Amino acid sequence: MFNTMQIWAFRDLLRRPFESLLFGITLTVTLAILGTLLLFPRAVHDTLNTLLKSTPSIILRRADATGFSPLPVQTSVRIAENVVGVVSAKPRIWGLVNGPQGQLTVMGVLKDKIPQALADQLPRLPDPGQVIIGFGVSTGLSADTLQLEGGVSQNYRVIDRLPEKTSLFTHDLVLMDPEDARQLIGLPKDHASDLAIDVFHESEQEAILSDLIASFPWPVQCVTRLQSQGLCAGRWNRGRTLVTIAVIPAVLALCLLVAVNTRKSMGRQSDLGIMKAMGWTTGDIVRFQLYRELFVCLPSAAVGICLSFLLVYGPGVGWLADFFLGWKTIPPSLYLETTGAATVVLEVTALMVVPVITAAFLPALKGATADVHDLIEDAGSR
Amino acid sequence: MSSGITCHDLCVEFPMGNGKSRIVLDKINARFQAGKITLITGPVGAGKTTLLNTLSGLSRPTSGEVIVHGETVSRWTGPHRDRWRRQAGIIFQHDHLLYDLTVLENVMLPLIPLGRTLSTCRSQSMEALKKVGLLHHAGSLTSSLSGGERQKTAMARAIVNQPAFIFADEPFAHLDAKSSRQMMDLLYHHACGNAVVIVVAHGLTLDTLPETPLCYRLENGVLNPLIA
Repeated sequence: MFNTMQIWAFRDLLRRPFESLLFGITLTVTLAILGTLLLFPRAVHDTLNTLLKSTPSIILRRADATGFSPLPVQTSVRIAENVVGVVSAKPRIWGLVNGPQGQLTVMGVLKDKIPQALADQLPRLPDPGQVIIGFGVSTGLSADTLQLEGGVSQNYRVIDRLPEKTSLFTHDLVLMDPEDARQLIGLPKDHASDLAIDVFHESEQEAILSDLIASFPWPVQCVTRLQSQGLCAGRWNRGRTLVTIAVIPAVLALCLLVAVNTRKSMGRQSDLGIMKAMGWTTGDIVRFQLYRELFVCLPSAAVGICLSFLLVYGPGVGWLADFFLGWKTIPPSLYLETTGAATVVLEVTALMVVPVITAAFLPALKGATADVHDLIEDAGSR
Repeated sequence: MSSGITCHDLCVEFPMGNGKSRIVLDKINARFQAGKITLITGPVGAGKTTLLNTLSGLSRPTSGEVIVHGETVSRWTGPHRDRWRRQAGIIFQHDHLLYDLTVLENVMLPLIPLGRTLSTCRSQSMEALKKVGLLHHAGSLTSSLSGGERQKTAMARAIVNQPAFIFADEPFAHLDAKSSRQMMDLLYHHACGNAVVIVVAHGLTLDTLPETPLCYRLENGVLNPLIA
């Protein structure tokens, strides 16, 4: 399985076991941090993109002097559906209320207007006094009762929990009867929070905005999916800049590790001289150094990358988030896109492989150009 | 096996730093035969080690040639000389062992790049250690050995690969008379196998030698035959 040179290189590592172990652990941790820093914003970006693809083309809200106000359902739907280009207009009843451990989003589920992302996951609809909760919603002390506080304070019976992978939207979502939702968030009867409008073609989103706004007898504010995506892209760019700044110390730490390792190898020039005197060629020495580096770096890289993937995509490990970040609620799952994740793996691997190869080549190449006797002379002075 | 090493007008000069240079070897012409031990003596600082380093390809001559099998080895590039040195066993004036390796590992060192299995390398090395009487020290670190034992380890490392050329620089410096005799017998045994054996020593008594060697004296950069 392993040739003599590889066994010799491994044996060389074991001559300084604690040093090798420490180097391996430091490299693993550095790569895990680096991988997490590169992976996390990409995962958030991919997740947001995926989520935005399933959002309505246009969200329409009624505006007034105080901010937003409820929309009368029947009138709003009729007006919206009369605008040329609108395929459907669905009223949405939702709002933020206080749960046992922080704010939650409540949503009234209308029987014929269930959102697409939820359609397959809902075995039944909640009756008055009942709720279906998202994976990340904590019910507090009681497992089957949820106390919510909004316009009123009331206990609801939890009849089901949405599966973890349903959607990031549903993570802290509480689905309930529309009338219960209206009562909780203070909406009048037959009123909705906003309208979810779908258009025939994505390019029509911007085009019909002016017609849509003009057709309502009261002021409305519209946000298109493209605008949301642009907003996210702007935040993503800012996030990417911050990550780049955060990556710099990690890369510097990696460089420092490799520099120390290279310097250590360079310090053994006399040993290399003796090896060359014994018939080792420069190629043999490069192979030996390369194997020795790879025996530490490959497992470190594998474990480091796996750790970063676990930290970013495996938040199911709730204790980890609780321990490191103090999150009491279960954090949401991020969307894993193969190409994006593969790019990060390649980036991290390149960041590690290039310096490692340099560390292996540099001492041997320096020795290749020097006289063997001169290299050994160094040993004589020990 | 080899037919010998020839040096032709071999010159080595060392720069002295003030624009001048010191001539260490001055147009040396000699032929070192296979099958015999060649002994080079001379006073301290005569250039014996420099001659041995040049012959073994560890350093380049300033001018002149070292010829082996009709090939001018001294003109070869470093990698070629490194590869050629696989046929050579070198015993240094200072033992030049790797101190964080065991005795056995030091002896195995020349065998590792040859592509042999680890067990073959190990058994060959144990055989060489047996020849020098250090089998019981195989697992010891070289740093724990005495000067004489280190010299024996260096000898075992030099002969482990049955080399065609053996270059020994003061190989008996730290050995008692009995051990010197044993080591010389070992070198003689290799010479009998048609190897070129060149021994540099400034204080060797001829009664240590199992046969009359070819003797040279190196003085003031000039190599003169001492005993034919």
